[in-house]
Amino acid sequence: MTVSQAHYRAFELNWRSQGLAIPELPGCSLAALAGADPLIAIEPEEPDSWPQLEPGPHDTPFLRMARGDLRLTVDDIGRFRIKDGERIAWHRQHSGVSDQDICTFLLGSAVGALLIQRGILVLHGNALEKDGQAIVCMGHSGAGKSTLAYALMQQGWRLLADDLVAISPDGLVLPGIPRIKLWHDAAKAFDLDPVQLPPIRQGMHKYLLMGEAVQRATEAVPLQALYLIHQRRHDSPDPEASRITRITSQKAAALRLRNQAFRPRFVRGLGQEGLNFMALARLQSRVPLASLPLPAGIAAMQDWLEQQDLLQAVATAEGPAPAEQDAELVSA
Amino acid sequence: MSSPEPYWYLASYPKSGNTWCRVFITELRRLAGLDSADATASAQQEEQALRLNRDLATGSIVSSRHWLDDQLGIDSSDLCWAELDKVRGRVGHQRALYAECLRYHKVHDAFTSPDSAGRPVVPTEGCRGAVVMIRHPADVAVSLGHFFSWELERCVAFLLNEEAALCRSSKRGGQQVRQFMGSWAHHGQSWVDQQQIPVLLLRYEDLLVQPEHHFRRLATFLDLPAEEPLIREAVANTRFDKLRAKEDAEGGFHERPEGCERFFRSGRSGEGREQLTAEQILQLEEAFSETLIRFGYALNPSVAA
Repeated sequence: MTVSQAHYRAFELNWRSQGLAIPELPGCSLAALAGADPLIAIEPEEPDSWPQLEPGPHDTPFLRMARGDLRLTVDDIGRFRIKDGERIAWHRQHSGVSDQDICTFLLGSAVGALLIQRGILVLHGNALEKDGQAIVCMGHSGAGKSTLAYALMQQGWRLLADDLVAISPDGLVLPGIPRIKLWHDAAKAFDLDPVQLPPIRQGMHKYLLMGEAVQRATEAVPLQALYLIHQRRHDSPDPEASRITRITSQKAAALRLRNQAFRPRFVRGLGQEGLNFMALARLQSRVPLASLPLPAGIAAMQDWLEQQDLLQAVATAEGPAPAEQDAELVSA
Repeated sequence: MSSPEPYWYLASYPKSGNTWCRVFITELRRLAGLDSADATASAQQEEQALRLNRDLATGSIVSSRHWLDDQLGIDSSDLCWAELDKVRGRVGHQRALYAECLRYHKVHDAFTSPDSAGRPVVPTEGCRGAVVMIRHPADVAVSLGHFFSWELERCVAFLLNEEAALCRSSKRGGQQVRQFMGSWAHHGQSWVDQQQIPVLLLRYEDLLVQPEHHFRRLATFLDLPAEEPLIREAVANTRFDKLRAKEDAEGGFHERPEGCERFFRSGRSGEGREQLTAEQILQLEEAFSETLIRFGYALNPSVAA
């Protein structure tokens, strides 16, 4: 499906997309955009018109970066140019590439790069809201973030953002992209029928939950707690392994948070490291960080989550002595 | 872009001594005082001995999504396996993202995959070489059985399977991408026969019999200090019984999967002949006879003939 022009609102920014419908983003009427917020342009463009970028120290064969300009190539799919926090240009590599293919990489990487260019702190995880307060759950690819987010939505939480979590300088989590991507096995475990769900890309066994399938929060809300998720072992002899543990060492918290920033390479390549460092430090001084040991298996995880008060748990959680956490950094 | 920093691969079929080599490298570097001031200071504070779970940091496994996502600039789980295998070989070496001792990358993939269009699935630009570790497939079968909690029959079938892969499901997430291996013989040959990077072939059985000699070859290949007293001490500190005792003392090794009682279980060679049926051994030897002979393993007279 192509559209001539569509408007969206996400991350408290207004977006205008030309030639590409982005079903994952909350739509918005032109009248509602009348505010003073800037308008971000998403437009198709021939990469031949893009000026050459000098190779940078953080480039990879797929990424070229300079201050205010990022080029991303996704082989056989498309190319993206993200400029000055104001514009995303995209190019379809060949006619077999669907709009959905473009949307997937545009939302995952290009939007993140644009937020970084705007100096916004972006974490890699998801954000959920309850009673006007937010938690952010972080973890590396494959750690189970989306599964956790869906489980929490079953328990009354509303989704604020998935994948990219943008945090304002005054500690508010901005409503981002209200969708969740669930693998086939996780969807089945939640009694969802994968056949009825749109795949993230044609032929893949990972599905999009969006629109009416998610309860979303639409207002920015204060962040109460940051969680680092990890899978607990069934056979751990240590009863402590099932407790939410506050990370009290400043050094350990700083390192862990830095590792959870969304695409640190983008941050460095775009020359935003200083700003990002300050924003992370501010966040760390304001919001407690804890580890969230998720039991393996979705039923066990849901049972365990029901017994937790994730808005309050960090405030009361104990942590090991800071010296002990610092020592663990050797392996972190 | 690729870093000028040297790096190597530690390539093996699973359960063939890869971790043992990583432990040895970590210990050798520690003894030689090569690791960062921070890591060394912290280790000294705690204790002087090697600790398995904290110190074993020789570098990412090449199939790590964390690494791929960083290099590709996208979420690698938005690509299917076939798309990933085409680009994996072009990602750059991780430029000392976290620490300078991370130069030795474990890899279980075969050198190429059916999806990689004849190109390696690992980056080779700037790579100084691959240590290829092999172990008799009958012993690998027994070890796989303990590691994955599989019946021996399934292990033998896995070793023989020309399409075998780790993390192959496309229906669930994980921290690693699919690693195509093919059969045991295909896997070893794919690394030994490639012409792009130098190879040091190490047999698990030789490491057991003459550890100082072969670990010294390893150290030399990796440009690490290889003076005899240093090698002797590193070998002594990483002997199997010591690793096993440490695994107990530390309440388990974190690379041990759910359901696997211990990672450092036996370490012996010859268990395959004791535990596999005669028929299973024959199956392996017949299928892999050429490769077994090439790597210096004796065959049953009936197969050899």
